Amino acid sequence: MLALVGLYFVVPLLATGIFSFWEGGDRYGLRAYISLVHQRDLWDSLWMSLHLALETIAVTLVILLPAVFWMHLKAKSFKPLFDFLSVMPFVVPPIALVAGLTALYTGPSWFVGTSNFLVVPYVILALPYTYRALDVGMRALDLKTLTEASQSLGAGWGTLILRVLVPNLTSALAGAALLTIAIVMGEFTFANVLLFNTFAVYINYVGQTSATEAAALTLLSFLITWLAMLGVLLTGRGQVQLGGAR
Amino acid sequence: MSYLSIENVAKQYDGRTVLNDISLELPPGEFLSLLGPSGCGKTTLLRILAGFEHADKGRVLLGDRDISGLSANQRNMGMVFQAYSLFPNMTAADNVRFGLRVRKVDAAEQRRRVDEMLDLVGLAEHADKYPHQLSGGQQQRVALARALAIQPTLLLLDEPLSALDAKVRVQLRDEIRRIQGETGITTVFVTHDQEEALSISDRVAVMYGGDLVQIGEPAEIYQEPAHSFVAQFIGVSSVLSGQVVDADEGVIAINDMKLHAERARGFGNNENVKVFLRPEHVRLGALNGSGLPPDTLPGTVCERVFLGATTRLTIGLDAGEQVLADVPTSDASELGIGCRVHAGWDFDHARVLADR
Amino acid sequence: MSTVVRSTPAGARLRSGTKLLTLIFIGPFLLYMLAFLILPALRLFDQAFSGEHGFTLKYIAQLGQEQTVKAFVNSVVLSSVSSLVGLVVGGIVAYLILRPGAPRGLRSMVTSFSAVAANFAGVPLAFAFVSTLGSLGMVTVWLKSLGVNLYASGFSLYSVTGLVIVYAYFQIPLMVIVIAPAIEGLRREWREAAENLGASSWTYWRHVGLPILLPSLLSSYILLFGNAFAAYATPYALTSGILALVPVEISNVLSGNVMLSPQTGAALSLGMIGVMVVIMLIYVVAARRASRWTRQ
Repeated sequence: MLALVGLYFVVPLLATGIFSFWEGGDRYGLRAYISLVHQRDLWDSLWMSLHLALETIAVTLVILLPAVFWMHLKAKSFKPLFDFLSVMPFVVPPIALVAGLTALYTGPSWFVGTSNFLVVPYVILALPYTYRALDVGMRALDLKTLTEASQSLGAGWGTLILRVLVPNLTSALAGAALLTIAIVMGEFTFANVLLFNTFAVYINYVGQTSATEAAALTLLSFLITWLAMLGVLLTGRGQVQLGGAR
Repeated sequence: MSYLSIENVAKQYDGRTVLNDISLELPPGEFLSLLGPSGCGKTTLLRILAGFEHADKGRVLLGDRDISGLSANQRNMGMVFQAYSLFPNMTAADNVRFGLRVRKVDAAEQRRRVDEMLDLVGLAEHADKYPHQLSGGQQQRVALARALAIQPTLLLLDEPLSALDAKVRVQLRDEIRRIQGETGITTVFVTHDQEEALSISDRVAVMYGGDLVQIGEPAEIYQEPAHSFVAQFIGVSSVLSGQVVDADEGVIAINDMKLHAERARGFGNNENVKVFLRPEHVRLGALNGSGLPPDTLPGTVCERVFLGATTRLTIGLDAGEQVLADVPTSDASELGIGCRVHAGWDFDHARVLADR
Repeated sequence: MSTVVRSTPAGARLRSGTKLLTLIFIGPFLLYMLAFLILPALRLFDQAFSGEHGFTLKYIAQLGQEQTVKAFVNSVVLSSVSSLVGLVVGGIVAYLILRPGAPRGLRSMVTSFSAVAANFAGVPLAFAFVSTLGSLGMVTVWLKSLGVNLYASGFSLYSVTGLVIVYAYFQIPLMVIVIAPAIEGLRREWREAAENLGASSWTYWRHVGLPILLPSLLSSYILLFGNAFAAYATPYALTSGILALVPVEISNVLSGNVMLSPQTGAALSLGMIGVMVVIMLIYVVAARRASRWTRQ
């Protein structure tokens, strides 16, 4: 059974791979790849997506970690609200959200005009996954005891969160980070409508000019992301939880 | 012919020997405890009986039938787990009914049996509660009822009380014994708590490092440990090192002091031995000018622990080792810390075992 | 952050302090959601109902147009079917890799692959499938060599059926990720107890395993549905707007392919939200029934 499913997933990648080596007629070679490596815009877009991913992770953690922590510790009554909010990104489709966002927020231009503005919707897109990862991770800890122990030893809230909570949540945090990276790297809708040149937008652009290059890029992006994930998973002693939204 | 026979069962995990040539026989209706520290193999043995693990060597016979090859769902045994015993999505009654449904027992008979079993464990009024509404002790009782409902050939209990509060533990273990007595089911009970094992079993099998170290009735295990591990694991013991001086006369030397020890007969001369003493068997007397009585060792009182009717004194022997002695509290008042005493014991009560 | 000094009895001090702390900890998150999710959504409401002269229902009425209805039907069918495929196949895959006997490496590999594949949507995915099942795709050609003419028998990658096959590529992995914790929550003891009482594998699943998993299965299905329903990049890249699907219609309207009308876009968006709300309600009712035994 697994083999069949595996086949379904591998064949398209294989087909893309074979196509990416095509050089017209019966020739096969690395022309598409070589051409790609020399495209400055490619590296720029890749870099843009990467740093957007990192910024998204940072913002998510800053607003979400304290909230989920506090909810678990002292404000359990907020849980239904949080659960509801974490699912909202599915109810409001991205394509609709982008229209609403641009209508509502037109400034300040030093922020809205730059690609960093994308972090705003990206945090929301990743929310179902990041919330879930943090929620499950914290549920597994005995927060009350950890907090009381730290406080009795004189720690303030900052120390508690940074030195006690975070180290105990590494697998949940790693999972949330990985999912965010995958989401941001693959995100197209917002970036395209807002006219920013992220990696996914660039792949689309390449697709309209050169099919083989697009194929090569597709394959590369998939493989690189997968290897990166695998690397983090294995070095994390296989403890990373990639819990989904529910 | 015994009811349950375990013949030369062995098992390895990743090169590590978990069970080493275990053989055991149970007559019908016996309550046997498998007792030992974590990692000794007792749970593995139980799971082999249940069919969840398979032995690398040896076989298991029920009556004269070799059941080693049967899968778990064909063995008709009842098992109670340490935790998560009950199906969370079913009421207590439905849990108990489960095995009967699988066997396609007719509805009226199902109802009768379920009622009977819940009555037996005293939870008839809780029949319609879900597991998360029941306390830990109640859950384990339902698990017991569920296991018994199918009238199993063997009842297997895997540390069923370990996850419960101390008080509930004591209550429930007596209940289990009572129920087992009433139903007469052959039972294997795994535990690491020796008090549990000694109080409710017909026989206790002590396991250590994958070996079956000793098997016998509780009193025998307690009073006649055949192995140094058993002597130390069961109850409290003081250990003294010594050497056999005269095997025929039964004389041993502990740090150059010669003592009689009946049990020393049967060893070779100059053999190193260990002497195991239980605190209740050590007799103390104040050391005064009249010298050391025969067959005693001199020492000083280092510690006193008040235990109620008795007080446990730790005696630091002049020779270096320590001995624990339980003394009636009324007598202990004369023996304060720093007091010089002599410690002696009945020869019969000193267990002498080879120093391995 | 200030240090909490525990010199006074905790009760009195904490009560007034707690409210403030709650605000500090939870406030930013709630504020963020309000500003960047709730308000934009409300803006859509506002837009959908406002014409040049104020409140109007004409944009909402446009939802009844044949083209629009077709788009909604297509979207719902596509989402339900692809989610079902994801549910069943993904559920089985998740179980197979999480079983006690499964090799450790397999699990890491599948989980990491799933995380990437679940977000592979868009141009890359479209591309990959055109290379595979397009009219000149590798598999299509291969089948032709075996005598099977895929496109002649009516199949097209650019139809709802074709899209289901494509969507499965990210639905199945998403399911694996989402259902994994629930499957891990199935205690070994339950399986063994069932076996011990004489149950076969099937009996266990029917009476214990699946009932326990049901709430998670339902919520996973909803997640998958929402995911498929909102998908925009993939169908657009594949069909260039030919096939009627709601997200594609919205983008057409917003970027002027048909006509520039943000209010129509807003109305369509509201329609989408409406469908999702209905689905959620069905889910809530079903979930309550399925998890009766946890809340009794």
